[in-house]
Amino acid sequence: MSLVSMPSADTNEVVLRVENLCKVFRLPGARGQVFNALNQLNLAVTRGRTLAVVGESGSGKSTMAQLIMKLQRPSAGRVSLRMDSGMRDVADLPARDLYRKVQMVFQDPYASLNPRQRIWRIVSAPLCNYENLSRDERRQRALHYLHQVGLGETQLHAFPYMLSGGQRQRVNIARALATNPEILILDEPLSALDVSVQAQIINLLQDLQRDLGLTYIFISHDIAVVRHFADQVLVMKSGDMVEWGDVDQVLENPSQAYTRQLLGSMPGRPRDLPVRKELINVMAGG
Amino acid sequence: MQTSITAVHRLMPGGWGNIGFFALVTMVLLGFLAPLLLDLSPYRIGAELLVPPSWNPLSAPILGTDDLGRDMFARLVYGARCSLGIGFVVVAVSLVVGVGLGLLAGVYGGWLDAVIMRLVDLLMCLPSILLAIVIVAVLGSGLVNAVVAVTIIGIPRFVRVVRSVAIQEMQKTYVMAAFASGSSRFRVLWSEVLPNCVPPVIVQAALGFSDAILEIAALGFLGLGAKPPVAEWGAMLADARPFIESHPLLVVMPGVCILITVLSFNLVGDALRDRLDPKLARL
Repeated sequence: MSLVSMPSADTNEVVLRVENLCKVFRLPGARGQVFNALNQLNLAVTRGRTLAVVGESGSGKSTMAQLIMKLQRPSAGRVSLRMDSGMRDVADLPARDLYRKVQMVFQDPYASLNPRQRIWRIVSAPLCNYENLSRDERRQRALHYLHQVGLGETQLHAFPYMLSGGQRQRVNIARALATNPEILILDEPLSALDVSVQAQIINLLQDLQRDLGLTYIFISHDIAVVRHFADQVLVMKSGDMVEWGDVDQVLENPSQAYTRQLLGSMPGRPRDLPVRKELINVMAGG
Repeated sequence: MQTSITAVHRLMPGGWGNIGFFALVTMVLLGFLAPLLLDLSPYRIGAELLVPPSWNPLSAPILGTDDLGRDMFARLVYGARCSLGIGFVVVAVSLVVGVGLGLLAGVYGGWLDAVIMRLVDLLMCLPSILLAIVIVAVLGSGLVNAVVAVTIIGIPRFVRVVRSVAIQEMQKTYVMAAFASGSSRFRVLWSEVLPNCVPPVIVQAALGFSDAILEIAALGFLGLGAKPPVAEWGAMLADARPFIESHPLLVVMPGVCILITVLSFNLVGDALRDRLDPKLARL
């Protein structure tokens, strides 16, 4: 019942696997006291599919993303990634190889673009870590990725403050695409945008997934979007994995009390928000 | 035309800073153009000693002569060259070193940060002029050594400011995004953090200029900086000291030059701070 159908034979190939991943923060001041941000997380992500991660604030969603991206060190457990040579532990992988495979789109489109850099510089910055490019080449490559996200020459020389929130998030996505990754981690990419722009970005993400065969890990608060967008969903609560399964099954027949509670309290719950349903229809149609 | 006017307007510090800005421009023009246009020599010894100022631009010693019969106007003009030139060198060198150390401390952190900041603390825990005297005493007196001493003293202000900006920057999402695209720490330092350090560094440079000029003058006055007969404001003050009762203008004139220059740089610096760095201005 997935909305995105991948034609290739390796549809069920696992590209990212997380095993017993833990992250413990030592609390400042309190001696010996710790905070379990992530507790024994296990999951597998299938090529070309979208895994949604939902849960309230502080449930460890972003910590998980940062551990996968090696922006933080896990306290225990491992993340492995499918490379040409088979599954490889991310911890042993050179940063260059990891970031060619996995990229991240950050939550806040305002804070994630350096206000002092022009757009072409921002978008092409990741490329400079892999190749020696002249200014002209950088601009051309940046333009290529801007075209992919529905922006163009007009934005190439702009500064971030000249763009709208939706355009900035497109720039963020363009930057993430610049290393031609296979997996995109989307850390609440919609939460800072208004509803009509959210729909456009969702459509863009779906088009990109179809065209480039991307795999998404989609962190969200919004059940309606998750229902529309994801194939699988992982429900988290204070660092623990509560439920993991296909979207239709988890959202229609949640087996855990916490999932039901979450569905009842989140925006975009199916029963009593008709406006959201219309939006879904708009998005599905457009 | 319109754009060039706004460009000039954007460069102007604004408010009282404009007055300081014009005073400095005048000073620079006088210091660098007057010797080219007029026949001035700070060393030529005239026949008449201690001539009172004529205050007339058309008659020869406008500001009189000193105890050796040298033209005071010429000496003050060359003193402006000396002070502004030294100020520039001092600020340029201590800026480069200070910004570099501040970036290393703020971006890399850890033991590097600890070592750099303890060294900076060491420099800052002594009164700057005392430290300058100590450094000159170690290196030997002379203008070059005085410049070295004042440069070393100028470093900490840049380190501290840049480090604090760098630490703030390192928390930003776009820095995390840079790391997430495989950027090395040095690339983050260079292309994400450094550009954001520019405004506070400009402010510190303007304020550093005035401190440098004041310290060089102080060392010159104490006989540890410029040696006679070099026309340097501090040294001129010291030379004129025996005549303070009979010819007070000999002391007052270089003193006023130092005052105007230092005050102007402070006005410009404060105005720039208000313009570029609203957070610091409130402190």
